[in-house]
Amino acid sequence: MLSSFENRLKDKFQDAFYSENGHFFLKDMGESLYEVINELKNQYGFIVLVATHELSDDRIAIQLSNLEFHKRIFVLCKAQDLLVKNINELFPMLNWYKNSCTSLDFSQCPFPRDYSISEEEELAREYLNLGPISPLTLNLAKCAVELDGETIKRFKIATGYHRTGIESSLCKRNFLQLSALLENYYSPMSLEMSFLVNHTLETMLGLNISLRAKAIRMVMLELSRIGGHFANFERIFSTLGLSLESHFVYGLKNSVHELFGHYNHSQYGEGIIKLGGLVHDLPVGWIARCLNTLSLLGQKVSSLKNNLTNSTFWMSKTETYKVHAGDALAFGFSGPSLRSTGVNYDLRKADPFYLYDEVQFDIPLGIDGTNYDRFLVRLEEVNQSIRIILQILDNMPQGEYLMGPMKEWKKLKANGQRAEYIDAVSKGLTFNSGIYYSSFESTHGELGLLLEVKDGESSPYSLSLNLPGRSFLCALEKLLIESSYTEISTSIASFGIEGKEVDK
Amino acid sequence: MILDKVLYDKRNPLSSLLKIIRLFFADLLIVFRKKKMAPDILLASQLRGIPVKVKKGGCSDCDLCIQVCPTNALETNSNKLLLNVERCIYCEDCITFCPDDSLKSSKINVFSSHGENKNFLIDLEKEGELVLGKGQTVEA
Repeated sequence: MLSSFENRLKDKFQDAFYSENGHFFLKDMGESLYEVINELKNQYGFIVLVATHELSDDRIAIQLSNLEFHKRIFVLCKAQDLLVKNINELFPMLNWYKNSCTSLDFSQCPFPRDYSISEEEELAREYLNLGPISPLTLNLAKCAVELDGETIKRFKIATGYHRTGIESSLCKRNFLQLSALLENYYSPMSLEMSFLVNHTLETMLGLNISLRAKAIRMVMLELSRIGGHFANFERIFSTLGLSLESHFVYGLKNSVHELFGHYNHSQYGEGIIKLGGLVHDLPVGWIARCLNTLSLLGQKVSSLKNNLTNSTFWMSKTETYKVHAGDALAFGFSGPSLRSTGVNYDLRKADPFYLYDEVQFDIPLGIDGTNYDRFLVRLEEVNQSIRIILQILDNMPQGEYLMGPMKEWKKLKANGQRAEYIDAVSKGLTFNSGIYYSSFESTHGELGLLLEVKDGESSPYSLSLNLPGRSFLCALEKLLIESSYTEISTSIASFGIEGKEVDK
Repeated sequence: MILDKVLYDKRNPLSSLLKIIRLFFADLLIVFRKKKMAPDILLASQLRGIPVKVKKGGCSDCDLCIQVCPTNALETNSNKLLLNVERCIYCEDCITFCPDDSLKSSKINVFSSHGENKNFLIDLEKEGELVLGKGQTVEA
């Protein structure tokens, strides 16, 4: 069925279409970009815009996803094609690329005159410039709000205040250095970042790591998911001024991160995942400590659920605008925010890696896509993560913890072949040229890494990260209209948007 | 798994009043039981820190740690291995890749050069002596 789908695409686009490293590509889509994307969306079922990647030589890769076959297509075009063409009618997020390179001019009012309302009505409205450093926008971006009383009538976001050029600076580093840099920069989600980099490099090498390393990595990922959800709750509570509750989940988050500390003295699990496996095997007594923490967490989560769900105060603060499932897909949502709208799509089920097809777990689905839904989905995901970890710890497989090039280098070092060892390490890793992409389900959504590699080079030619926060912030511009302006901060917190994710 | 519809119902005033009373007494009990109220805090002294050199001299020919370091924090100057503490992110790659195992991880993660110079550069051999005690460094 999949091959017939591929043949249909091949017949349609002929020479422009090719398949590489498990993904579809359409090259040099210059003048017919609008028609091509329209056709892909309406006839071939690529209904989700995952991300726009900035490649080398001013090229853009538009990544679309087909949920039915779980296939990705990359439409390659020039940057100026995207700026000229009016393709944001098809996907509202496509014009966000423009926002990332040009900032709003705040010297004048960013909103043009609204002719649909009377002059008196417009004069009664108020403009507010929020940020970039403001508790209401969580120091994320500069926002312009047009208010009628307390309700937002128009809302615009200008990003670019967290821009560090991390993607282009990473292109000057070799493949072995990527993991250490990314996990320290995206600090609370370090473990997920190091997993992403090493998993991508392993798929590029065609390396199949040992069963034990897979199991331990899964435990670490789920722990990191639990910690991420607690960090998210802490942020929501602190924006609403619930300091006692935020203090409570802060302790829970730290008890999860303490487990990483006992593994390798790291704060957020940086350095645990290495190329081809792990830094070292599980320390003695770690499993018992983990089980203790999990049983404690289970109790605490149920008490959090008992106290907050159905609570009138909590529901009045979090039952906000509703997100339609179709809109969520068009905006490119992923993770718990997509699932809170009722779309059953989780990369752990749709494209299972490691042992995810063997463990039993449920995917919690919300109904309306409000902040309250997102909270409930995250709370249930913590329970499901605990369930996954317990299943793996019960059946922990035996075997090696490290494989591949790192193990070979270790062998050379142990055998006393010093010159060969130095040669091998300084040469680094090299790959065949091509575009590689891999992604997985992280705490807040899909986390992806795109690497463009040239033959025999030890550093990436171009690199692009797909971070979930970008699409959420784009959507907020439209979602927040007709809601109260106090919902800006709670929405940003409940989606889990961070400044480092929006600007790269 | 679609979430329970019950989770979306608002509490009636009576049950929320009962809940408040129950929570009040539960909180009182915590005070009497002397349960730990403060959250767990991660201590910086337990986390990993800069690398230190545990072997004297003999560190000039390979430069592997300098190549591997992701932030260019290491440099050599007249047979001395220097570390810029401002740049070090404690990734421990230099320790794993060192061919002679002459580097070791430490728990020192302070952000200063102890007044050695103004460039945040410290001599890793001296630091090793500080960690292990004087005269404890092994000859290469």
